[in-house]
Amino acid sequence: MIIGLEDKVFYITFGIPVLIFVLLLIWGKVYDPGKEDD
Amino acid sequence: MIDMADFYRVFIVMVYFVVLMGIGTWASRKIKTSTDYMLAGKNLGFWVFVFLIVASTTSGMTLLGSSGLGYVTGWPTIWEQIFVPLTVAFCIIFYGAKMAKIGRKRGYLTVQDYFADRFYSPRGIRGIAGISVITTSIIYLVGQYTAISIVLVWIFNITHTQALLIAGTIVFIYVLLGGLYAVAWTNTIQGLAIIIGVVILAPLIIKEAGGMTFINGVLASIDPEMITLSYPEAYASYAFATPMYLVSFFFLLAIGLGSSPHIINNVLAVRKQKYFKYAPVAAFGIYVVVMYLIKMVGFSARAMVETGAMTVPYADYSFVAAVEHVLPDAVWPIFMVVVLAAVMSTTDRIMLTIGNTASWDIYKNIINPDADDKKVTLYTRIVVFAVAVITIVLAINPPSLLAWLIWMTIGITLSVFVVPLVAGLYWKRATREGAMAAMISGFVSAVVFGYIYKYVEVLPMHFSMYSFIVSVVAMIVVSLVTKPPPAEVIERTFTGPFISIKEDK
Repeated sequence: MIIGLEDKVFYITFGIPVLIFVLLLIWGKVYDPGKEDD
Repeated sequence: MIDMADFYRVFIVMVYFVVLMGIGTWASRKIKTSTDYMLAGKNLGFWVFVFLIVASTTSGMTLLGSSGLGYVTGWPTIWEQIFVPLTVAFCIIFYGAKMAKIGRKRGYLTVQDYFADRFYSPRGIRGIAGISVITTSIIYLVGQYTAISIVLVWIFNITHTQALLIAGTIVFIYVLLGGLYAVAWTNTIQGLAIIIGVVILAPLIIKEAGGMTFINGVLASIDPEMITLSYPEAYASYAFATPMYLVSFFFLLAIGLGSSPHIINNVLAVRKQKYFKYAPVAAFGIYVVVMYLIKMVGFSARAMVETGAMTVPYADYSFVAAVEHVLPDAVWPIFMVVVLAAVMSTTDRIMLTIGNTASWDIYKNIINPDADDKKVTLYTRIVVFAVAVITIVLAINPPSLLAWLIWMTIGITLSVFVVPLVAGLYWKRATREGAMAAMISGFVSAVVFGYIYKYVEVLPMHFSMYSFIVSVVAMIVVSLVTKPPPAEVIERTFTGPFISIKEDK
């Protein structure tokens, strides 16, 4: 139990946002907006 | 009789409104063209853009509704806290990055400009899109004004109608004066106020309630399923968040919400396209922390009520009641401004969206193409005024279930806009007829499903999932049986299965 939640519940509810955050950071690294138009 | 406490509250809220008006007046000086008014001259910086898109998404629902939902349902609806911030990232990555680039080249001011161009239908598609934008936005706005009124009634102890008149007048004046410049800057300030306010308040409230371990213990004592990830079945009115329902919840909030014109149009206003690299992570990171804290305030309020520490008249009141409970009398009106900021920020953005849609899409592009810039700006202002009056009248008798009303409008948006948007951007075979079929069938089926199944516990999934599927099928089938789009259209709108547009394509 962590903060009164089962381990699985805790890791999923807090792990998913962290995972999404990391994926979005990777998007920032790889996305190439190309040439600015003006 | 006005006592000192009343005077103090009025003073704090007046200062807040005066600051908003000041920004509107200042911003109005920067307006020379309709692009200035509608898209802030396509000149928003990185953080102004991030806060604008977060604050546009943060509605009255977010503070009052999310904590209210947490209060009633516990952890199984924590997914809302992930899906709503995710929709901002989703909107920027899958709709925004590509559309903003095409928009620069093709001169779009609204998402309907894109639809008209991509589906080679300067009037038909634009008209259908415009009407659904105005319809859903007005319903949304009624919900927002009701939320503003809840807060004003609570702070000032005035009547609902008086609160509506005050709110309507203030929002109208500064939207009228400043257009998106005013909305962008006030939203940046309001966004900051919400973030700072929640980050300071939530830990105080959680601590007051006895800490997370204790709070979760109280929730588990009400119903052991309240501290799990979903409800096994819909056995009670609060237990609608079954695994299957959560799937539709993902489509509704993570994908549908982000396709709302009042959110997506923001991406057309950025100064530089390189902002799309880190704007998704910045917006998600800030938003997800704030959303989790808001939900935990709802959990805390429930624990405090169960242990008899405080009372809450009804669930949507849990955030404001918790704030009042933990803060000294001299401080809490300041934080009320934070709640007010949350409900005001979406309202002004939606009012502007309706004004722009009516004046630009329907008046300038369908009714009177020869109208000059001055006339379009004037017309936008007239529409904003009319909308303020209409929505205030509609909000005089508010709906009993604010949350379901707002989800209903997001459901219509999911059914009308997502399919033409995704198919338009990424599928070369998507045709004008397919887009029209998807929009019309999505709109009609969403209204029908929404009318029949207003409440979440009736169907296994949110009603919008069914109308969304209808829209997907209509797009695919009708596109495949009609003539492919002209090659020139596909080329000029950079349609294809890619996000990043290379210049040599």
